[in-house]
Amino acid sequence: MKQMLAFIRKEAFHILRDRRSMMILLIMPVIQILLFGSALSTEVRNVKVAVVDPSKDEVTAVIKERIKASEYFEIVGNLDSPEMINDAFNEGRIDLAVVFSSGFAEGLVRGDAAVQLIADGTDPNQASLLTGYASGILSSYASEQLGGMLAGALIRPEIKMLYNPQTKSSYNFVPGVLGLIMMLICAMMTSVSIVREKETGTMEVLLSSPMKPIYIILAKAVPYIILSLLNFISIMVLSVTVLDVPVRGSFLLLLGISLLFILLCLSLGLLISTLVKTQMAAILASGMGLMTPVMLLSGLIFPIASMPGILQGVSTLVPARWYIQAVRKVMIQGVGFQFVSIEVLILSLMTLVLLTLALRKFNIRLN
Amino acid sequence: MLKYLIEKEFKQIRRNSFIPRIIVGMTLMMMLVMPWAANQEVRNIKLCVVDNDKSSLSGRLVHKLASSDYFITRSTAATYSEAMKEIEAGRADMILEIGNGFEEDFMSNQGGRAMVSVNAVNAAKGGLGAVYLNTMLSDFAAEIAVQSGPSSLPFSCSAAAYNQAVSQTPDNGQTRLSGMPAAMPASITVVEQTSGQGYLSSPVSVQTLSAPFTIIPHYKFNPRLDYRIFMVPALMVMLLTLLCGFLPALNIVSEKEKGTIEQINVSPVGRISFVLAKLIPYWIMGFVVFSIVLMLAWWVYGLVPAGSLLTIYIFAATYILVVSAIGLVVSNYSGTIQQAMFLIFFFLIIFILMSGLFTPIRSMPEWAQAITIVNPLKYFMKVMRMIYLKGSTFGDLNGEYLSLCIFALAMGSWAVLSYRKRS
Repeated sequence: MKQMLAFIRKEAFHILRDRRSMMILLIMPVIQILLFGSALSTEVRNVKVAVVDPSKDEVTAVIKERIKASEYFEIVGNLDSPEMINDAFNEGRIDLAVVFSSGFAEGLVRGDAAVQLIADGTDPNQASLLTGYASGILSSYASEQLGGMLAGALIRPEIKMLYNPQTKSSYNFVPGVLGLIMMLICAMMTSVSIVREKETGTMEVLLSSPMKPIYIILAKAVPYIILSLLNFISIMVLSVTVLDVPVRGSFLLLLGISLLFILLCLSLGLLISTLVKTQMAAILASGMGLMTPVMLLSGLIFPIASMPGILQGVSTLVPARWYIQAVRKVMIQGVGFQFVSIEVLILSLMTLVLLTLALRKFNIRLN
Repeated sequence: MLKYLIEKEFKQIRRNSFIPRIIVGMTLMMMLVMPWAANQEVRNIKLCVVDNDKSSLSGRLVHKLASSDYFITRSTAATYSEAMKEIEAGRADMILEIGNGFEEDFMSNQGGRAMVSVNAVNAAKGGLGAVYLNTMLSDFAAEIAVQSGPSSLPFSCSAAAYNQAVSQTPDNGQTRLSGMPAAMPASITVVEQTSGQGYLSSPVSVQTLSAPFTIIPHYKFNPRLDYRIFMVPALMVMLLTLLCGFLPALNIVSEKEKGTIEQINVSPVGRISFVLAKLIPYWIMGFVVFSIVLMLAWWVYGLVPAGSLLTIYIFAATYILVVSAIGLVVSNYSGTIQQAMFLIFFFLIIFILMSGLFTPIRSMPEWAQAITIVNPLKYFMKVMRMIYLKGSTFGDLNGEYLSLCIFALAMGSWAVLSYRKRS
């Protein structure tokens, strides 16, 4: 035990000695969670609208006023002809063009008045959301003109947004970013620190000591577990105080799941370190090889349900997927253990498999 | 002398068995796998229905929802609290509770009551899901109203025109439904499919039947609202950034760690030629990878830029310089591979997530938008999408080009100045 403590101390010195790395390790997650928690958002906002209004009568003036008054749109200018729309789109000056038919007010009486909503379809989701919002404004104006004719609409759904009534994007992104950061720090740090010992040759010294190899590895892991927990706590404090993301479920459960995930990431780092020879390879494998799948396949940004079947299958192998899913459930939905038991089971199995593989592959002898 | 230095760099890249593998692997993954994953389209929403009415009308509604592309009606529950359990366990995303007396209210024109509860943890998914369901409900209402005869229509329009509009409504919901804000009451929006799928002919038009005017949405540049067309040009940028930003960052530091940098330091090689010798190989590599990626986009996705290829190359050439220079600056300031790696990860993640790649920049708060001004990725990402989809010309984009040039110049000189022969 005393030997073990000495080894842990040695490892802690390694981290503490490199001030710059340590600062980055502690500050990076803080900045990232603040930045992404508030900046990553898919809400429709600041949409730049251009209007083509040949008739310039009082009806179009009222409609324009309505558009301007909404929180989503700002009218950036009037265009004189539909041809100018192309240029405005090509230069990226506008996101939406509202084109009124000529003689709009008279057209209303004749019944051939029309409004064309030309959206920049490059971003499909934004395009359909913002045309939806714009046509909502238009049709609510239209229904007022009809004098409550629509009051007897045929089906009246009452819509309730569960868990996130203000539909804030941060509720979705905070658990995701948490998973991303944990994965990067734990897996990358362990793999690099072990490979570095191999590269500089100090591993030989360690292996020839009377400590069993498994304790050497354990001693390496302990400081990183502590570091990750520190990060976890700082992220939690920030998301509750600064980002207003609630922790609705039990904090202990959240902590337990996170510890499990940290363990998993450490085993993954250990496995990577046994497969590569240089620090550079370890970084590239754990950095790029883990970062891209986590960003793209874990449900952090892109909903898994929309992926083709094969990729949905692949995503089940990405540990961060299960962690993020579980954190969302516990933190935002506030459910109890029985609702995340599947995620916990899968994470434990993955940890077990990775750890056994890593320990098997861990060479006691250097070649 | 520069020639020999560059030769040395190439030899080092080639000799390292890992780097070529990473380059090939990343390229294939980014271009062949990621476009399928990077899809924010909302579909396969798991819907749980609580049918309190159990009438033939509510049965037809459930059947219609089940046959749509957007929803999977996997489960039905007897009560609302049972349905909530499904949501908590993640087996459902949305609950539709059909109110008691739905059919009666509907037929007597009082409006059938329905309650929709959406899991809004993912705000975008929840919002779009609500919009889709809302549109489906009004479609359904319009359909039934037509079938039960024009007399029951609460609004004045010629029955013939109405029938025509409704008969064109696809039942399977394969058209992308143009939505309304969730707060709107479902009214009388009918989605109709117009003939062409050609460029600029809008595939979907919404007719608000009783409205005094017609609303016609039109999706320019991407009329079928294909998410992949939107993502592929941006993923090219991400690939270039990862390859040309990471590898140079690790390059000088690994020379430092191995000690080979000492030999360069005692040689008469000047700062500028040293930095150039480090930059040029990555610049060439970036060019090759970029060309391959353009080809892949054409072969696999049939995607060709609407604008000029030359403009794309001019921008790419400048952009690669910027990221490689950033990589070199980082490596000049780091003593160990580990430090370099953390710094570059720190910046790359911020650059990538704040570039507009995944979430639109205009949705960010003001202060975050101000930060993106110093993000070179944002400019190249925007440019690639504009040239590929909109066919913007160089003239449209000279502001972006100027910004990239300033970045290249600033980062390049920083890389030269921060390289010190003395430690």
